[in-house]
Amino acid sequence: MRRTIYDVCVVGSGPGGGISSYALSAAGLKVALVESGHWLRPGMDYGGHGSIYAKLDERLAAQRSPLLSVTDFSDKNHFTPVGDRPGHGLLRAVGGRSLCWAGHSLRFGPLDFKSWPISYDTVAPYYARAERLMCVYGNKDGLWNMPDGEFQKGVPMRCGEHALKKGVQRLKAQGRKMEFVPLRKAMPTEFHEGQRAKCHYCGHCMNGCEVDAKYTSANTPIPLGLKTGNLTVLSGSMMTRILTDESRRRVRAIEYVDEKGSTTQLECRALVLACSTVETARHLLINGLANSSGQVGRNLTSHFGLSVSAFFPQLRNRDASNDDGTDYYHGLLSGLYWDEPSRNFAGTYQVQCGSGLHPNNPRIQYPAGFGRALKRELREKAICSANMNMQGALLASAKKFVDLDQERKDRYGLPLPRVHLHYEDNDVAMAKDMVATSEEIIREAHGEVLSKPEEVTEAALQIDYNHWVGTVRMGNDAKTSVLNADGQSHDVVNLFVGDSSVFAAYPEKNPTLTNIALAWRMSERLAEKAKRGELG
Amino acid sequence: MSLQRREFFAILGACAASTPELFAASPDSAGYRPQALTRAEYDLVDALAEALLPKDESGPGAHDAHVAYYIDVVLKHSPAAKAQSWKNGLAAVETLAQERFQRSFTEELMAELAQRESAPRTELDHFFVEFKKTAIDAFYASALIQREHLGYKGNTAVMEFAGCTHPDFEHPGI
Repeated sequence: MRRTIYDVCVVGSGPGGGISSYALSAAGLKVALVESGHWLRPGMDYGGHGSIYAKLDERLAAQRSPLLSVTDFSDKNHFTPVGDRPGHGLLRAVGGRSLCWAGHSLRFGPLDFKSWPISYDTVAPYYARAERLMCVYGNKDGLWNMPDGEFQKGVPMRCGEHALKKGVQRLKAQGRKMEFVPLRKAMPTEFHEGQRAKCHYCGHCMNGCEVDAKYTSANTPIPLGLKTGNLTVLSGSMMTRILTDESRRRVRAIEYVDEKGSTTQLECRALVLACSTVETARHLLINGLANSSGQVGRNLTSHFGLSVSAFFPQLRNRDASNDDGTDYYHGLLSGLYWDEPSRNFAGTYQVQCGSGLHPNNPRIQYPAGFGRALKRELREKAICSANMNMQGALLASAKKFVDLDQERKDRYGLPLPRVHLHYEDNDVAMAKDMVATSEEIIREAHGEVLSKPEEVTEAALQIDYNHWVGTVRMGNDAKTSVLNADGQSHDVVNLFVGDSSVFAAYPEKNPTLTNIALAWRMSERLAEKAKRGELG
Repeated sequence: MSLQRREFFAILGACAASTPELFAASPDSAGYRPQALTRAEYDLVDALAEALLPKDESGPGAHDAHVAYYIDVVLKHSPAAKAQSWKNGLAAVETLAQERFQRSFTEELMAELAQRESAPRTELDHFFVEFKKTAIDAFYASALIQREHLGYKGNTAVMEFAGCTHPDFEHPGI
């Protein structure tokens, strides 16, 4: 039997695993990318165009949402929730959750890296590289803690976002510290040779882009990696075991089960885990690896939030238009509590803002009454309203972590993870501030508050299960962190991590761009160390 | 499959307008054979929905949008208890109509039902609130309504996204 030894085994093909497989293969290393899901076909397996009525019966019978969506492939039962249920979010497919992300690409700023072992300046070149590869569009806004990047031309905001911006400008004139800027997302807005298709502004980004304009691991870095001739993609392959040498300080192979149920050992000189924040911690815990600090699974956090919506009577006479764009949110309230921390809570939040008639994200209101008056009201609310969606980081604490559920096993007999998440007073205080601030902005914008939580309590909050980070954090001290500043295990010399579990702290900004920049940097460090013979 | 409020939102979250061809493929209410409801119940849903969201000068109504079809299909794939509660609700509407108005359905009945929607007390009140929300969801999900009542011009490919064109935001930039 032929024996293949790969230089690097990358496990997981989401945002981090995808870029790692490309960067490592481009550096001349032989790479195996192990992914439990399969290749999906844009436009056939997923895509958002179509009519909700057309296949309603067939889709509901299959327990699916009425339209084709990439979330058809999500694993809805991959962990046991303990405490406040964060939903589900593992997408088993080549490309992972990069298939269903909204594309929001915001650089973390100098403030955000304050408690990290690396600074903004260290990551900045990788942000630039990532933005170019991902085709991030945006506007040069000059914000100090959300630095500008290498953008393609920006996408205009809709009327509702402009109305909210006016409200923010009036508050700024009164001395308030906040900014309202257009969002930045990873989809081409310009034609360039050799690049993915240009966005056609249909607004179905979250269902999976059917023309592959939106950046995913499956449409950009993995094909580039395959072009090098150094990358092998093993889809439908679930890693079940990590094998080490006797010292337990060096990985020598992984074991995976393919779709036929056969188990294969894959020898490698280095291992990159990029399975997601929850799954990477789970595999390390199952294998009892890289945990001399006891920190594997700890420091879990995620984004959470709630929504406030506004009605702008001044927009009543606007033309009904095509408001689809690049999914719902085109505007961003940012810059809150960067310069001066809040006295009521730690951290800060941002508010993603969208508006207009957008059947993909209808934000339906249910006005009182019936008949013509009700129809008129429905139309007005659809066209003249805006939504403000808060995103803040849950306070990291000892109450939030991932461990193993010894009662529940997956189909391979491995314990499923338990995800412990509990809201704390800080989270509620932050949400209260968001509601108050949003109400102020709407008033200043000459709008009316259309909906808001009756009372801001834990019950009103929602955890974003796509955004969790931090279970395998990086740090300079091997006693309090799992990885060093290069994303390399303090304990196991040839073990690296390429997903968002490496985050040392979490700001309000979306995680994917930073995940990709860090995974790129980690991969380069890995390649350099391998060439110097430092990986054992 | 449980189709509670949350699921309705999830469904609508995935919803988009259809092309005219796709819309043409959706069923004609007259020719459709209801699967969860009886024909009489289905016709009542159709009439109630049309009174709630009637055809008028602003565009088509619930009947043209096939709201009753949507509701029947959703009930077909809901737990039996949910379909039964709708049947009970519809029977209560029918009884009220006969007792109070001596007819199977009237505009006055709609006014009566809508009277207590902000503070529902009876089972019938609660049914009406659920009926109304579901009918609005179904109405909004219809490509015909999106296009001809709401004036939606999206779900298509455009070279550039225009953004806000309102005169109050002249040359707003991005």
